[in-house]
Amino acid sequence: MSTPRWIRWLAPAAVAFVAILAWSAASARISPVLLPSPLAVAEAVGSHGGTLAAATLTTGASAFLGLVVASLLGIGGALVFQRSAIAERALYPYALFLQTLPVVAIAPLLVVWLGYGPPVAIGSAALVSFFPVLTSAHAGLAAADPDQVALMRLYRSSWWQEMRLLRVPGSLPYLFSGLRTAAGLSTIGAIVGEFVGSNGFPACLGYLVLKGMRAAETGLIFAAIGCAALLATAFFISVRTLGTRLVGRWHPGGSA
Amino acid sequence: MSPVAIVAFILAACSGGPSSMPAAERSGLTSVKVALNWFPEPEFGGFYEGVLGGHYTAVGLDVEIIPGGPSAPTLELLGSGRAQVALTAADDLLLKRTKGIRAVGAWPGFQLNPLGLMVHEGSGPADFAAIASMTDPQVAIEVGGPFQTFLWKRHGWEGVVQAVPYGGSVGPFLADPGFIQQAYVTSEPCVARARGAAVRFLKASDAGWNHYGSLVAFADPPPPWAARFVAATQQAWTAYLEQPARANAEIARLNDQMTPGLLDCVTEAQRPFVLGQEGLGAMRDERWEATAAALVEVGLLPAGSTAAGAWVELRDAPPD
Repeated sequence: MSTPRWIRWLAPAAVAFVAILAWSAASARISPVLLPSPLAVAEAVGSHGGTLAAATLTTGASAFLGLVVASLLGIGGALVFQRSAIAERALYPYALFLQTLPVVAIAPLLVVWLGYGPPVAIGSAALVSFFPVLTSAHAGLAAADPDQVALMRLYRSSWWQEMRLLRVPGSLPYLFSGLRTAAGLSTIGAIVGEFVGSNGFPACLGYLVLKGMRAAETGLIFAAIGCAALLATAFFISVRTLGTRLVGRWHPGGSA
Repeated sequence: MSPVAIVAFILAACSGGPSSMPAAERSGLTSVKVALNWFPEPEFGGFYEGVLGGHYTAVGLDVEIIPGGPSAPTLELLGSGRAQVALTAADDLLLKRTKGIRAVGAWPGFQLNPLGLMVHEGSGPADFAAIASMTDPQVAIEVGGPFQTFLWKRHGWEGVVQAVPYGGSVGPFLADPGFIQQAYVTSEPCVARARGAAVRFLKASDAGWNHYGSLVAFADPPPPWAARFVAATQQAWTAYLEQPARANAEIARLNDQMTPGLLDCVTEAQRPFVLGQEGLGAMRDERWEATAAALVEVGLLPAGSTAAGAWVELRDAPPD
């Protein structure tokens, strides 16, 4: 039994309506320098519209490139782990270590190596999205049905054939589950990178949040956060759509 | 975004911004990149005036100013060749030198440390000593940072005054008349005043935490044109203090947070800190040793550390 279409659209819209009502009520009682009213945020969007749009594009490009780098390295790493158990044992602990690396600590290093702004944001986005891609791809490649693996080996298939025909297609639902997590994380990663590594040229969402904080312009901060949320949502939907295209038809996990 | 735009973006990102090298070489000027340790603000006004007023080109230097931000590893940029002049603070320079960074301080933009505490004029404490006698005093500050460590140690605030993290916004200050927070005289007090708050600024220098700020640093040993850069900087800052309008307009163009009112407020507020008691650009050994001693006191430098060799007087040096 499927939910009627209008309810599927109405439900999130109703949540938004109630949330904005509650927000308005709360902001009437709290100082505007701590919590801006929805109207103040709308005004900030109006007066900083061009900057916000440019900053969203810059941050979006950094997050996207970071996600691409993380995907290439994560999937490549998973293939290496699948190929060599020794490589897996040798490298996996350090992949885990990468995940715990605070960007704040290495931002000066990234600035010295690559310069201010987008390079730090890309590096930071790649750093935080790498691990979910690696683990999901790794788990996916390892999840092939042992009987099917045994059958392929009986036919003396090569490692590459086993990957191409069996393990890689079978890993896609796992991979896309990891990619959906990584898609949201890459936006956060890019913004954190911008927090510590941007000098405002080009303008980006992390810089605008900082600028709003320094100028006590809470409206601008919330507008920038809103743009970041839109960005993360767009990434999530793109990855989910891609997942549905590639695996949705034969696996229920593709579009979850 | 099209694939072409993405590639262009990567290239732009990787090239580290436009370079003025070819133009400089054509005109016979030495190309010098100056790395700021914060966003473009009036605390760097004299450097912008140096570019706009031709003070640097007059001594054969083609200066490009690179803005910084929260994480501006300016002294490290000297080593990588991405900058030839680094803006830093005297305490930071001494710390980094013990970590193997080869740099020397050569000209202080700020005689007095622009750091301090910001309190409300009417309801706040009159000075540092008065804070301890308040009931349950709280100070929003970089917890565990050198300034906090120094204040608590020097004033015996351990267990008396509670340090709470400072998030970078003056919002909580505006909302609470009892709020005490760390501040730079070049930033938070003017932002708070623009929002109608009456502010009193307690100078860190009055508490004994007084390091030269906006300090020009070169690689160690300094390049042959260093004395010329210092002389032009002294001239440019003198001109800026007299007539800040041109440089401030450029700062406003680069950093749109700097509204006209804010620019005027900061330019006025920073003046006594730039000049101090000894005047623009002065450096004394006692001041450097006091900074070294303060860093030893908070445990950031090993006992017995001095500032020997960390700074160089170039104002009277003959031109190269």
